[in-house]
Amino acid sequence: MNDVMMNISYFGMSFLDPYLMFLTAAGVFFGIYVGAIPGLSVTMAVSILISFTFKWGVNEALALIAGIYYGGVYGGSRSAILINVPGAPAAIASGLDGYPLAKMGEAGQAIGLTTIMGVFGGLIGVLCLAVGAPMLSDLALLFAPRDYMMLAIWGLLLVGSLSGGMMAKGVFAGALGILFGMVGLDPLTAEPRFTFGSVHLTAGAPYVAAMIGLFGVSEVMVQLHELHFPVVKQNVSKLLPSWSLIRKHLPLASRCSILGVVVGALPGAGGDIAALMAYDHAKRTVKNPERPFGEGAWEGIVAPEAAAVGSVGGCYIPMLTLGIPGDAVTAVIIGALYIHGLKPGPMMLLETPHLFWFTVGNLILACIWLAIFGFMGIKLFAKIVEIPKSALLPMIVVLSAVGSYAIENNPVHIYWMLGFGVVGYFLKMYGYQVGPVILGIILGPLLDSNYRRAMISVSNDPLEFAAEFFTSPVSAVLLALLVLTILSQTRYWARITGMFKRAGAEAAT
Amino acid sequence: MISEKEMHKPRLPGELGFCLALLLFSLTALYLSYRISGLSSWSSAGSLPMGASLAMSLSSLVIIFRELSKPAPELRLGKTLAQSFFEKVFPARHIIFVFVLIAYMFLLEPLGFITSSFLYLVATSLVLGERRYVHMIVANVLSLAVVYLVFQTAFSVVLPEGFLERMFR
Repeated sequence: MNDVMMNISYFGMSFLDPYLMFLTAAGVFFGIYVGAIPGLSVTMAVSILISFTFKWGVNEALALIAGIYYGGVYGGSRSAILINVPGAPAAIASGLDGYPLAKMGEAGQAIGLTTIMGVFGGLIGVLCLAVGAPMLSDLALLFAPRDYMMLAIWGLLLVGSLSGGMMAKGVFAGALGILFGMVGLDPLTAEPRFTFGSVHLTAGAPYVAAMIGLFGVSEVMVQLHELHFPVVKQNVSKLLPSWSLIRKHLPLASRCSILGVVVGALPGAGGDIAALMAYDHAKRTVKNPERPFGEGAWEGIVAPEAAAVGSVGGCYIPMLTLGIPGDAVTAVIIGALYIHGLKPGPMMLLETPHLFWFTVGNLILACIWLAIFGFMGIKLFAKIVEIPKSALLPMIVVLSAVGSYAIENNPVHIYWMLGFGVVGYFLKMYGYQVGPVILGIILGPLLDSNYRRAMISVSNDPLEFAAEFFTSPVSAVLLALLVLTILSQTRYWARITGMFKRAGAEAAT
Repeated sequence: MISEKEMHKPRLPGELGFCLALLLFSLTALYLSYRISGLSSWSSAGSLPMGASLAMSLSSLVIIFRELSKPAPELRLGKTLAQSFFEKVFPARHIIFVFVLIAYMFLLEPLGFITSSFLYLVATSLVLGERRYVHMIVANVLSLAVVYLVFQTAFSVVLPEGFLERMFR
């Protein structure tokens, strides 16, 4: 009983402390703009902010980051609707029907509806987190080291393959991240790995500088290619959608929120994939939309928005219970938790339940702020989105440089940032993704220790190691998922699904 | 999964060279990982680094193989591969951008945050084609002032101090 009371008090913490309340609000507000301005991403903002906030208490840092995360995922759809430029990858789907709506003069209603459905999806996401995480955490205690190993590999494969592009490039980027994660003294045997005799490197590669370089500087350099995007003035008047419009789409929004949570909870898959899948789901299940999809269907903005914002709660589930990031942003957040001396994983809910319940309460608070800011300041918003890139991009670099410097008041981190930035730029230009690199840096040490513990537990016998994948039920299920993920990326998969589809079509006729 | 359309898109200039460089990097990493603890045991300190660099090497090979099956980069008449690389992938604007950033890095500590950042912002805005000079300087001064105040008060970040910062203290 006492425990429940304690948890409720942790839950309410951010509602009662005016400073935390303010930080969450500031995060959401700032996040909406970061998400909406094309070229600024949530991952970028969170990576830069981590270096500034690690002198703060953990609650303050988490409150700000949660706000930015929600605001950013939501804000992307604004610019997708208003100017047909998705501010974030998660908003690509929202623009498909959002921009046609804006052209018909219904931008205000569209933003209003996405706000309501986003907040709705977000709340469902947090609810699933509050219910699901303790359950998964209990289950996670049954996981053996080899299961964590497989989860880590699965996450890397998912982020590399689902987000588009060539699977081999995703594998390369993930493995590169793992390699960076290995720099330093081996935690088990204290042997130096890739330190090249440098004392600085024994503590590991400076991963915050790497994050800032990969998501800040390299992104800025990619943006340098196209400095101008067309500004379209929209008429934003009526914001509040009618109750019947909301009620009509609530069932779809509920389904898509759940879809978002599930996709978000998969290691490695986040809001962008959730939104596209939800759009596809709406297209397949809604038989008679008022207007066809792609020409301003309300369903076409409700589905991706509910799923994208809902996925945030989902992404927190594997992060807090398994220590495995749900997407690139949560990989960065895990990096932040490490800096604060916390170890996300199955023991976290047992050892630091206050952190979990604080996070749940804080995420709900962020959703409430999202609802408030979603309906406010649209005029001002339109102005800020129009800031020319020639002013914006240099400022991002200044923030990145100072952020890297602030980690240890050491200019060496800026060199690292620049190095990662330039390499990241070429990786991006040639179709490699940088998300898997960050996931690899975070998952590398986890993969290393779990693989080796699993190997040691079978006295270094590779045959017995392999056999355990089939004898333990948890491992067998995870192995099956892993194999399916790899198979789905090959052309055989397309052939098999094609066969089933043909069979299904024949059966139907 | 790679689409049909992507398969027939020509390579970007420098793409093949970059992939070869990554392969070379991966093989070097593989050798260095082997040097950590050799093949002494399945759970040695070098096992995962070797696994990761092996995965990198193999995927690089697959990528190079795929790249070779794409059409060669489209070159405009009379342009060499190097010229079109510096045109499409790493144009002058990017090169100057990187050099200005390097200069900023080295000036940050001796000049202090405000002076060096101001110089950096002005230089980069010029590189990016900003020509409204007064507007640019006012905007840069104002935004730097906001950033400086926020860092000092909210984040309590220690910024490199130059003569300007010492004046304000």
